[in-house]
Amino acid sequence: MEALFSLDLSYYLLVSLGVLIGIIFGAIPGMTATMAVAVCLPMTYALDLNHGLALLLGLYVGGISGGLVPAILINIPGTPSSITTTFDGYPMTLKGEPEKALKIGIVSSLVGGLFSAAVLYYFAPTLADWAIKFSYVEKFLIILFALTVIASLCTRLLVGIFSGVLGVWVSLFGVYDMAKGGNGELRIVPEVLSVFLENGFSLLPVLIGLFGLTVIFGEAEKGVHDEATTSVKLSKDKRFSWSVFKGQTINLLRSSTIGTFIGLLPGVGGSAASVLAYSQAKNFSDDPSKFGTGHPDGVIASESSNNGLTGGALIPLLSLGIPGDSTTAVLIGAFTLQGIQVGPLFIAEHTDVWNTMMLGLVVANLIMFAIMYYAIRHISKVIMIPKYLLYPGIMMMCVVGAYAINSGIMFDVWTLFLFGLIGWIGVKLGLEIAPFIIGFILGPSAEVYFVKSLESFGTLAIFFTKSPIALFLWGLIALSVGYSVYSTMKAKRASAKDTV
Amino acid sequence: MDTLAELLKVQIDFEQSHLLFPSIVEWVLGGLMLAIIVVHGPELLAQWRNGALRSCLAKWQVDKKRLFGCLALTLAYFIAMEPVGTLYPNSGIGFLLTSIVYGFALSRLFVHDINRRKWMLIALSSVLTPLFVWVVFAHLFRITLP
Repeated sequence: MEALFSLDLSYYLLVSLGVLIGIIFGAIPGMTATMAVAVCLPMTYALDLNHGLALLLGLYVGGISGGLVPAILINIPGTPSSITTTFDGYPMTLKGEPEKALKIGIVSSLVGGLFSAAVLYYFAPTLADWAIKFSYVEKFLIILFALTVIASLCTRLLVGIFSGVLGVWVSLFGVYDMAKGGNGELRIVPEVLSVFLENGFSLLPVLIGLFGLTVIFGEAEKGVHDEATTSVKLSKDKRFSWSVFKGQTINLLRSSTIGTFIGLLPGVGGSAASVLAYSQAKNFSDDPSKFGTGHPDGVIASESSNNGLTGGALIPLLSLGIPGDSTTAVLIGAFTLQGIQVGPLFIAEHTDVWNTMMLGLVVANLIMFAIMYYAIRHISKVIMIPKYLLYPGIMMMCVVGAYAINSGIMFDVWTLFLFGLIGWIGVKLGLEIAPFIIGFILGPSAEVYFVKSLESFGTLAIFFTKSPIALFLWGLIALSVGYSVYSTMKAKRASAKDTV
Repeated sequence: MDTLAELLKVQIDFEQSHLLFPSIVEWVLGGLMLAIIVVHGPELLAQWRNGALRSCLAKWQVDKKRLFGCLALTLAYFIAMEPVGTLYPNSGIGFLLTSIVYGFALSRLFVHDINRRKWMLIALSSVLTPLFVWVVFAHLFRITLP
């Protein structure tokens, strides 16, 4: 409560601005919450951490929520996580109930977001307290576990692991940091580039390149077509009524829980959460045949789960220092800018920031609801903004973000371009961006934990014998790899059966 | 058991410690690449032989004009930004001027079925957007721009 009154008006204005920009990004197909956060990061350069986070949390919540608008109105998910919203949202539009579908989605998003914020508030400090006891060995194994979980959820396990390890390798460019106990010697980088890459690639140009430029190059390849070619109008005949939520408590709670706990798993993403929540809602329904025909239950399940992801993905970030999804990976950049390291000690050492973040998350959800619920008629017009006007502006924001990060180094702009190309070409070759980026972020820490463990104990056996937690983590690693191998084999058998 | 313990023993030379982890990562990457070739290689080879991969490549739809135009414009934008900026140092003018030209050219490249209204919109947006970004970041936030 104290935090609520200690913040000035600008804090709430920044959350609102973030939510509004986030909704716009989310509502335009092809642009995601991650892109919104990455592109708007330079706006936080001149802000302190609390105000910067206010903006970014607003962007995160707004970006995830905005995806429901095109999903319902034009059958194109604005963000990957709103894919299941199209299943029933668009049929509702066809039945003349677009406004009703949108408002059901907005209310469900609010419930999911607030539920996950509550789980985050109670769960993250407990997890952090537990993680404080971790030595370098367990910390290294946690990173290994995070990478295997992300990789195991990729289409091809080996390629997923390869992408993650490649991200780790790219993160090792430059000197072995003396501040972290390294010897200050340069590695991997050729002599000719040592001036530019002494400290390796900066995190933000890499992130902005992968999530900003890659999208624009991809769109250019497809010809930059605008999805909404006719104007979108919301009919007034079938209005929204709160009674639609009667008997939906279980669906709301179950879907929000699924979203929150899927968010806990590093790199899994909102689409997996919404697909799982949707299928569970269908399985538990008295009449599953209604799903896919414009059934409000489907929209409720999808939207409460994908907003449930927001708080869930922040749990591993704030308690372990491991991003829960690609958007929270970009949030790490905001903390890095302010010289704050997220991890088990974060909540204990920065209680004020933690409280302000929690407040920001709750306020962002409430503002998202207010903006979208009362201004949905105007918000829905966002999908009409032509991309040929948007993309140049986004490109300029990307340049500002990259150039200013180290107070004006052109090499960072070239890094932006390079990783934009790597992202665009890499995806075509099968490279998985989520494991790559998580590997890139966690690589330097993984190195320190690994080398220091060996320096202290002098044997590789320590990674198995250090503690029961280490063994437990190996169990989880084996489980995630085993699950992936099993599901791949199952899919292969199913496709073989189909061809027969 | 003792032999295994002996095998797992590692002594790290601090002078060379910067190479330990990258070397391991490189070996792992090499191993993974080999595993990918072994697991997915035959499947890809078969697809190449029966023409599936070639027809997939042939079907790859690319808007060459917009894609390569976008890449070339972006490259030119990045190259020009700093030299133009040196004409008016520490003011962000390099960014502003090159962004106006780039914004106009990129919008023109991306737009379909151009008409008078779209020309107006493009012209207006290519001046106002960079101007807004420049005022906000270079003047309001005092962020360094080229």
